[in-house]
Amino acid sequence: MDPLWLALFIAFAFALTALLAPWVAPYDPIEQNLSATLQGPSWANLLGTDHLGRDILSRIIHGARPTLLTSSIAVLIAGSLGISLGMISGYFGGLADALIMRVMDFLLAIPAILLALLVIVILGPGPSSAMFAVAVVGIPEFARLSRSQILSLRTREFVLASKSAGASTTRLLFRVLLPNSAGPLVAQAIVLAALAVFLEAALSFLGLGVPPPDPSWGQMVSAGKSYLQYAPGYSLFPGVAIAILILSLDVIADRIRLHFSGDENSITEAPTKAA
Amino acid sequence: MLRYIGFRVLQVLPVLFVASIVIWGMIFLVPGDPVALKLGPDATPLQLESAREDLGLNDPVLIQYGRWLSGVLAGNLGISFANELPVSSLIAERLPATLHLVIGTALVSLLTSVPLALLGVSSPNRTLRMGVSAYISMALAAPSFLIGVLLVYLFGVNLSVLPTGGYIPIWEDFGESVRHLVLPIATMSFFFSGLLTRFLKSSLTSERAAEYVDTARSKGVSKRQIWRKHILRNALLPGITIFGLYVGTLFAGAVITESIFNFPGVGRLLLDAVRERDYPVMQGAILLVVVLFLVVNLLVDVLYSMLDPRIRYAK
Repeated sequence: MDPLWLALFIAFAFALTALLAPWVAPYDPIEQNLSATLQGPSWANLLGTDHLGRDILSRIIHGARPTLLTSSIAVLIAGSLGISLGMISGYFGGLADALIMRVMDFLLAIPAILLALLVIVILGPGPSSAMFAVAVVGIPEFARLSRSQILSLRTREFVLASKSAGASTTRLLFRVLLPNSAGPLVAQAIVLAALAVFLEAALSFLGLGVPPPDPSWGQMVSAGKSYLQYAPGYSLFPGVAIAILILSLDVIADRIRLHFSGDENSITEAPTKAA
Repeated sequence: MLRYIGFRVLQVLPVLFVASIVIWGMIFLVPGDPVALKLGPDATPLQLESAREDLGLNDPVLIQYGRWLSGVLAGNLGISFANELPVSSLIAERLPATLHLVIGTALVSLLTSVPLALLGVSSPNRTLRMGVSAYISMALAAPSFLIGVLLVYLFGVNLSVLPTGGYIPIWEDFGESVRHLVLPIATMSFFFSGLLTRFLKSSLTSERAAEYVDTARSKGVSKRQIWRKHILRNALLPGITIFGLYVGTLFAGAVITESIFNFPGVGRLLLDAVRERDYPVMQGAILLVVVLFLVVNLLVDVLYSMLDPRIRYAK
């Protein structure tokens, strides 16, 4: 079977689970049961319980929500801001181009996790800061990509044709240039989604994202670390959930990129994930 | 050659300048008053005002920036809010630990990725080639903190053969130092080596199809010689750039790894500063990481232009 279908299925299943979390999860994710702490997997608790007796499966299911919500909103913000800036840069050129691209160069010069930390410092820890942090990390790549798309398209015949037919600048930008550069931008959106899932989880792991007792994957991995000898699944299962989601997003993004570049070996952009 | 180095240094300066403004200006963007934070909740308005005057926060912004910058250039990064120690000595104390980690990771990743990439491209065994591909996908998808926790579980908790935290300088006790470094370096290398392997693999694949390979083959050069003298050499060159770019990011990635293994490096220092809102330490640590990142990139670019004259003349 084509791994693409499996990846699409997994990504879709994660999204659906997050959406339907209160109905799908077998238990309340923050309900404690101090008589059954750090249990291994059983029929009552499929993935076991944590140090407060909370059901790990239910917490993973609910933990999908902050991760997916944060990541999708961050991608939307980064995409709309980044693409707009890139289009302005590429279409108008001159001083605007120089200014925008220098700022983007600066943002690209700072490693992703450090840039995210910088944003967290300014906004204070919390889920919405984590979201903006991820968005800021994503903006420059979108800007660079859409700028290069516009630059390569603007002298093509169909663009010149609509220009001479009297299309306005707005129409040219949004109805002619944008749709024709959509492919690589969509691939970039999925690449960023994978990075966003990682960054959100990493920030929660470092205690700078979703605050307890609300479940989030990164925070579960971090909290479960102290109980590895009693209940390894507490830390490892949510970590595996993150890895599976990122892997499927990687597969989808690779395939879209392959579709638009047609070259199996072209690596247009190495991932920015910090080791 | 000198012209090229000068050109690259000139390219780095604006980025450094913008970075210095952002890092310095950070303190004005954060919510709340840093002076109030420093003096605690019991400070009177009079005390706040005099502290502000002492710190020079009432001077014009440009003068404040100039003062900060000249301090930084002289190695004075300010005083920590949390423990009243100079930030530069706090960082100097932590930097060796992080350097152990980053240099170790760079070496391990370099030594593993080249043979892995060669296996992945040229091995006649299909399972082996697929194994390399599977490793790359996993390395790029698995978050470093999962790998770290997994390694702690396997080698620290389950087998109890390796320490799961702490750091010993390599010049104090070589054996113990290495034992303490194995898990953190393995955690960081798992990703970094995968990244390098992926890049080298695609680079090898495209070099193998180049025309000079056909030429060499038609001249009767042995397969071994073609791989060693032609394909590998040309494929490794662009790898150097990727290597340099990402070695710089290892300093930032150390934040996560150091927090898994209780490793007393600059990453931990930065993270604790973020949690305690110790702004001078944050500024110092972030500045250090950005400067290290840019310097490593610069060095690698210069090295690259020495190895490949095409780069120099293209400029």
